Amino acid sequence: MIQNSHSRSCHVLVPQIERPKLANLVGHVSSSHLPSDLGNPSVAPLRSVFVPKFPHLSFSSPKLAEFLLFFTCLVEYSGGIYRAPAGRAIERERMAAEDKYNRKNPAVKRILQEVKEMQSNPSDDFMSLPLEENIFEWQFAILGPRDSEFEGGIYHGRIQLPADYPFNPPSFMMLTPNGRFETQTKICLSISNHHPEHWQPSWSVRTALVALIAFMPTNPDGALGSLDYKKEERRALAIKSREAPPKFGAPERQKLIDEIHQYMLSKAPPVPQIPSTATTGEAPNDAASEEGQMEASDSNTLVPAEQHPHPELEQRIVEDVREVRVNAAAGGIRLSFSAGVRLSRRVPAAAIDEQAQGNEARVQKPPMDDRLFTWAAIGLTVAIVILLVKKFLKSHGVAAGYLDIP
Amino acid sequence: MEKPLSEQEPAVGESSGSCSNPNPIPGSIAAMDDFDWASFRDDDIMQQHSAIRAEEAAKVPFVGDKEPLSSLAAEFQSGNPILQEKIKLLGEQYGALRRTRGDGNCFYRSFMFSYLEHILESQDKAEVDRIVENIEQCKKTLQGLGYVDFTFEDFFSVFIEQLESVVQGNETSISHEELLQRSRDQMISDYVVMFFRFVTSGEIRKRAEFFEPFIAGLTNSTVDQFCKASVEPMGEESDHVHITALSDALGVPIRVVYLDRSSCDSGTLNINHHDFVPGSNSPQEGAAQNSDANTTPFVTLLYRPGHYEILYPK
Repeated sequence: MIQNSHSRSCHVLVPQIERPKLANLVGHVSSSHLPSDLGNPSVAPLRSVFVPKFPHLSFSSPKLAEFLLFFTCLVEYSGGIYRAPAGRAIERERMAAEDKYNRKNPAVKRILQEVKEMQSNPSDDFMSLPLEENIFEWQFAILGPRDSEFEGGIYHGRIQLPADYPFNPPSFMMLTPNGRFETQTKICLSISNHHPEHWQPSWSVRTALVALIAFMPTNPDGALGSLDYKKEERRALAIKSREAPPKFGAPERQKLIDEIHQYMLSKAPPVPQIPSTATTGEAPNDAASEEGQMEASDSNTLVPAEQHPHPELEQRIVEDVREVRVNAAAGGIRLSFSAGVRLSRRVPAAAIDEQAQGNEARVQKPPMDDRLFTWAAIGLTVAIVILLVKKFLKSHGVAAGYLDIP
Repeated sequence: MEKPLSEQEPAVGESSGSCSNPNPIPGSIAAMDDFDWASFRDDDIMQQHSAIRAEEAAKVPFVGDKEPLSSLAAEFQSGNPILQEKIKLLGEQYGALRRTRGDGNCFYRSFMFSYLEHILESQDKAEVDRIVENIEQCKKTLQGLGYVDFTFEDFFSVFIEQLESVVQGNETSISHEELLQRSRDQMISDYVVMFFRFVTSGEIRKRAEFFEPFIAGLTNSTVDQFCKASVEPMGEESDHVHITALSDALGVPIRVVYLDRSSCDSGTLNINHHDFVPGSNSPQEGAAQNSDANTTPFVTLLYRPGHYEILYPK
């Protein structure tokens, strides 16, 4: 086991989180995936969980959006039977918390605000919720940052908020082995407990999680609680991390961990695979066949990238930590599934010229799907109209007789 | 596999056992999981911090009682002759002082009490309306800078609550005694301090061009870094820049009286003071807005290098 206990050096880099970008981030789910004025806020988790079922599609397509809107309405209408577990969990947590705690306590009030905010602006890159019996204890999972050896990994951890939150920082601890942070050890980040002098009340659990994701690809530099595993080991851990959530704590907590894991699985892009280890059984539990296909094609397209790694790109990541952090803080989250696919496609072509290529790829593929979904939407609409007409006629008894004749 | 933490580091919790836990979370949580947070490495540092703070807290409350100025003279009885002389001069204009705790937040705590006490005694409704409007403006400033609402709204509402309660004639009105109690209450006092810090940070960021040269001279950092490192975190001391920004943002003039060892060659000692007058730094708006009432400070603070206290004119 690697022990750095004698070195007290730590990251003192304050994450470069630009507030305006953070604000963007907060607002993105409702605005980019679906029109934001649909339905009430309580269905937000439902939509966000639902959307990735079509991972290979670009959501910029208006027809598709239309279809999704239509389908979402149907789901909503049918009593929300497809409501995501994570969504249910959020509501349950919040209501329980509101019952149990004195809303006058400013720390509780603030924390409830954060839960609410987390609920109404769910991120594709992380999920975090408090335990039902104690809102000062949260569980979280983050997705490994894209274009790093952590990509596709789902890393669980716990957060503890101090009684005087937000005056003092939350403490973070990883539970999923990841090769970057020791598990079950408080993480040494400027944003966490170790450097209380850097923490400020204008930060939040969300800010801290974004920072944590951003810290993953950075050089540990001997910081306390850090690990410096090789890329291959980290990649193997990323694959393993998807198989099952960690076992930790009381059943209540375990349930929450499991729910968060399911939610994150629906958000996680596949781990980019190396040919030799390809098709080892790591297919996510709930992955649709579509995703399986995508994974296969991913590993194919990625072959050249793995064999001839881009020293340039690598170096950029290692050296310009700041840039990586900014990216993780601001962008990334917005890119969702389709971005992952586009990215892997253009890897052989080596890539900086992303905009043009990405657009091209998008233009090539969607028309087929669009047509498909358009027809499906039309079909459903026609079916419903027929049903309605039939019912209308029946209720007015107009042609009850001859409808029954056959 | 991970070993249970108690095996790895058995003694950490005990080594600093005499300190109070900085994170007093209800006991049920610790029992709920396999181990508790107190046994982690950096907690001894945190505990040390809180122990120092507790020690300081025992000496002076956030806001002390009103004392005659003679208590200040007694403090310097065997001290620097220039200071003794200056305290004598101070006594000609000022009758009393109120000490505050030296925890890095003393400027804000002094300002909070002094301002609210003034409203309580003067019942100046026009001033209350005016500052409420300014506070609304500060909120918009922060939103414009990209702050998420929930990160600052609690602090704002706690201050507004205090402001409303010093205005008499409501169910929630409070007496002078109660104001003092509230100012000594950690939660209320810290929340108000944080409110001021947000307001200050927002004003500095909003007028970054104006403040930039001052900040560069003070700390050699950018406006953004300065706000992150020296304005928003609790316990960071305030300087000329902070006071200017707060005074401008809230539209409240502040007089700071300097008690230091500086003297003139001519032999005549003077007590220097500086008036922070809102709007005086932005002439285009200031000239039009400034009425006389707005320029006479009713908040007077005594500055001894590194520390602010409240002064009461005779």
